[in-house]
Amino acid sequence: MKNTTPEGSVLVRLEQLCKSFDGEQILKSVDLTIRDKEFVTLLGPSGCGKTTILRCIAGFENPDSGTVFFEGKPMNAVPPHLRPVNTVFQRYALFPHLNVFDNVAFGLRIRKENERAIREKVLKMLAMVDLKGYERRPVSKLSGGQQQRVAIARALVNMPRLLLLDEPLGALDLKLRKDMQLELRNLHKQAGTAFLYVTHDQEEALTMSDRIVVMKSGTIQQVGAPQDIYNEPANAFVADFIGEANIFDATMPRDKEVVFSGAAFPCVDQKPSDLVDVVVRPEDVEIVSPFDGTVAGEVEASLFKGVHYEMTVRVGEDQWIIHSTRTCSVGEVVGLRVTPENIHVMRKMFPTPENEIEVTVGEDNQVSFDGRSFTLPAAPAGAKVTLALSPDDVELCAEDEGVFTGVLDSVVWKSNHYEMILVSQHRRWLIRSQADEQAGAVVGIRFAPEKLRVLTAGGEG
Amino acid sequence: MKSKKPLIPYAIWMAIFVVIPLIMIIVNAFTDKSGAFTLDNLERIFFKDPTLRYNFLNSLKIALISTVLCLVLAYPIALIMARQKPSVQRLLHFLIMLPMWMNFVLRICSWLLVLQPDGILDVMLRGVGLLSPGQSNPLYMTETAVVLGIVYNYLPFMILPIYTTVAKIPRSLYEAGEDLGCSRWNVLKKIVFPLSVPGVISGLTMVFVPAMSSFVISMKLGGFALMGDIIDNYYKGTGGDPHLGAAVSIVLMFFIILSIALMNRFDKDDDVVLA
Repeated sequence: MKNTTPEGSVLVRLEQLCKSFDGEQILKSVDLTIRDKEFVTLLGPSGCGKTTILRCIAGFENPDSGTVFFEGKPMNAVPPHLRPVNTVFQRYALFPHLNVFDNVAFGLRIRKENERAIREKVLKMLAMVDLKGYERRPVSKLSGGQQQRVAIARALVNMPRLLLLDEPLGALDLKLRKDMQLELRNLHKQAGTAFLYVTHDQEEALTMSDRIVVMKSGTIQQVGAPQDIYNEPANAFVADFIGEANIFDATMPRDKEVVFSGAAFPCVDQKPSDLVDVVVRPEDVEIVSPFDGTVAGEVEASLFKGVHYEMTVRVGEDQWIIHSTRTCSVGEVVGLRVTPENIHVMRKMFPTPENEIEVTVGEDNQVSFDGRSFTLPAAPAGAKVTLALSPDDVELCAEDEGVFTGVLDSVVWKSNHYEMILVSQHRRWLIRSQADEQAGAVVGIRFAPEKLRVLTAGGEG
Repeated sequence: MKSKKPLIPYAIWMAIFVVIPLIMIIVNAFTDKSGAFTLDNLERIFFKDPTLRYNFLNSLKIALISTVLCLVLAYPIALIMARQKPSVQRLLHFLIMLPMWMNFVLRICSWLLVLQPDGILDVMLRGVGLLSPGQSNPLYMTETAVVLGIVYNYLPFMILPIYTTVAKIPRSLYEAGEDLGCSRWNVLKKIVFPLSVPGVISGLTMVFVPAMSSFVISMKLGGFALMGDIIDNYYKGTGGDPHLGAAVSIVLMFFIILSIALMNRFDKDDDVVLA
């Protein structure tokens, strides 16, 4: 993976940052480096811990363990008002009793700069965010976009080394958001300050960042330049979260060859393991005649999206999503081809192909794990064995009907099924399902006990 | 424009219970016993009756001291309350309101039990050796006791409006303040206090107005009369003079309106909207 690291010394370093709220682990040992003048985006679904990282750097939260370094100096014990960072808050948090000028001047006045210098800086800053002439307006009389600019001006006027932005465009409508994205990018260039930007909007992250940090459930999934994240996602979650993607379960018989959707495709990757995930971006699929395609299938739907048509092609069991400037009629059989460079091979997110549970067999073929007992068809009493449970045999159900319950940690559409990882109290479960559940949902799982297969028998217990 | 019809019952209510009594008081204030027009009642208050004038100024002084004391006590309480978990906030709110469920005179009389010679306070102070046996606390039947009674009685009316405005200040404004370099004290001074001014004003009004015209408290705990008691006396009994009582009421009302108007001048920016 190529690394386009921008110039600049290390400004902030997070080392093994952990944080829990009410027993729930929000950050699980996060390491991250932010360089001077860099635009870094923390991207992830809500509840992934991105805002908590921001708040730990600002000093509003204290990590349970781990350290926030600022230019090599640990900052954990430094109160927020003495940290060399400023924050643009999610809901702006402007002071309603002050007008635009006084809001922006607030930080400078606290630092007791002289009033003339303050006036000069504030006016310059207001001009920079396009709010010249608004000095005397009460902030409550401003539109959302204008309040947003005041919030940015109020933080940036203090010339922080690092500006923290917590979903600053979340409350704006689409058009305004696009405009502000460009303006923020320009402000970043002009100000020469490092930006740490939190968002759950992948497009925003791709547009604005030097580097993107993709997060899920309190862990960093991938750090890289927008192009790298998009073209070479580290796993199926990142591929699914950033942009549209066809993701397949695949096997790799040898290097540079990957089998999925019923055909062998040449690719450019080395073989990491027998079973892999493959991602193909919809715009990278070529439509050719049925005889020229690596695979062939029937066009199921074609939607006009402005710049391109979005087509669904059924290849055997699999649905391929294809973006193309020319359309095909529904029902037409087409061939599909992908050039080797556009097939990206990823490691599986789950360490094993099936759920594997280590148990010791008790009397009468009884095994128990995670507080439940099951009867196996046949097993040597007292033996330590590994049980296997196919992800197809795990059934999702309501929370109170499940043998176990847990939170869906990730849900990825794999062209003909959802691949889910559920975190129960004691372990992680791999599930293949057609059920359309959202990540973060609390669900129950159940399975027929006879589906538990004895995989390997260890030594006598 | 909205229809004005629904206002009619309210208007009738106001006319019967506010406007007509007010007119009666004004008429009474400018007439004598025979019903003829006179300015004598007002002259007595301002020029002819030094006792009345003294009592008026004394009431003003005690009301001011009590109001300031209420503010000083209530503000930290309101701040601490607003920082608690919602369940604790509800409990504190309830505890503050609890004494209000008891009759006003009863509450004052219970202070009498505390302060009177050989009362609860004396027993306690003697118990810890701060008073020698036979000695009594110096508070009973003093102005201090009256101030104590007024503060005790009206403190909730200062706490609650301040608490309401402080509780509405979002957490993010405190954080924004700290983020911009404010110490805790500066956050309080530059953000919390300015935003709580409307609550402070309504608290000041709600304590000062009734304190100024309070009655029973001063008679029971201080043994002297304040304006409330004086008006009360003029209106009842054989030695009463409802016309003078009405004039005193009018003057008192004038001063109260004046003080409210003064306080509200500080609250001109009431278009402040908290998100």
